[in-house]
Amino acid sequence: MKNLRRKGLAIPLVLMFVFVVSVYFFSMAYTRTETRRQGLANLNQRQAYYMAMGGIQQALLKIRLLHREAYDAGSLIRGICPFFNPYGDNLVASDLSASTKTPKARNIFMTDLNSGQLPVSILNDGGADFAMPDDDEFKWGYEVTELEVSTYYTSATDGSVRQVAKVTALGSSYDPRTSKTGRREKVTKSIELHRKIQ
Amino acid sequence: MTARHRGVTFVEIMLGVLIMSMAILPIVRMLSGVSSGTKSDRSEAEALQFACDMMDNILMKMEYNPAQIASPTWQIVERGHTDIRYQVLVKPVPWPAIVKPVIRYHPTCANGVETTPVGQLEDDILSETRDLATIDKETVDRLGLDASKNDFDLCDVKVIVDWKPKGTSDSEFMKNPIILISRKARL
Repeated sequence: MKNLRRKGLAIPLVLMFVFVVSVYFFSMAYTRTETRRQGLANLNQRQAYYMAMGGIQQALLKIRLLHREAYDAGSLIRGICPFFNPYGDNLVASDLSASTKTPKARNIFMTDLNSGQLPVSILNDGGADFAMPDDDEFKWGYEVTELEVSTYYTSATDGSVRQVAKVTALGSSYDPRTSKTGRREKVTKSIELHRKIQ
Repeated sequence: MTARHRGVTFVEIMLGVLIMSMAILPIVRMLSGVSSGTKSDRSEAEALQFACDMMDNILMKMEYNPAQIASPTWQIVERGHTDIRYQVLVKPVPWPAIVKPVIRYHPTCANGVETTPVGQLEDDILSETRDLATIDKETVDRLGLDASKNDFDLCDVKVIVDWKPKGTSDSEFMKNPIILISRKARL
């Protein structure tokens, strides 16, 4: 009777072993798939990030070119008279009225800071194997979405007022080899605006 | 009874071996795929890091010089467990017209606080579209700069990084090249 009970032991043991090994290897395969998915998401994120960096570069160039206009736009956002001399002992009164603040000059300044005005021209360069198509819905490009003065201070070196501004650009990319949808990424950079004497 | 027990055990062993071989063979094949896939993932991660380092270097450290940045033929490097070849393509971007705000002059407000009513102030803020070359020339002239070194230029940059795990054949290239695109300004 005892022998009869032990008769079917080998097959359940084998099945259990096969089951355990299968679970182990399937979990390995799943982990690998997840790692692959993470790698592709990382690539898409970097592609959108560098498009946003392109927007930051364009914004910095425009600020370098039109630094006075940028400073004045920042002053108007803060409610400061743009013709006020920011040098020497000319301190601004601290009771700024909210009613005199306007972002209009800043908005005009940002009008052409996007790839809609200056489309990315290098998408198809390098041959068909490396072409990055623009989809109707998902496009390669960027847009500078914010130019905000966060704070300001008086420089110890020349006594001029320096405005600390944050430039934010939103980049978008679309790589059909790795994703069915586009990816967006935001980049913010802090800069100083000051009115040069010249 | 004892003889029957032995016979059944033999059949069980045969069945067990059959079941195990049926289950293990695809698992071993899958394990081999997972192993090569892991190597491939590691190489792709190294290639992506290489591409990002290169783009960061171009955007943050390199001087604005499209001829110096560009590398239109394959350059070969090794990094960690990966064979890498890369190209850098550069294309200047024309920026013909620039929109700028123009603020109509009014006398300086006392204590620096803007006192003009917002409605009137906004009427005095105008949008003007100017030719970049003209603004560029004015700025260069006003600041007394060397125009050849202080131009206001933009270019598009495309970094293509092709990769394969070290020790594999060249046919492994071109499976999933990494492409990064950005825009560089002369700052």
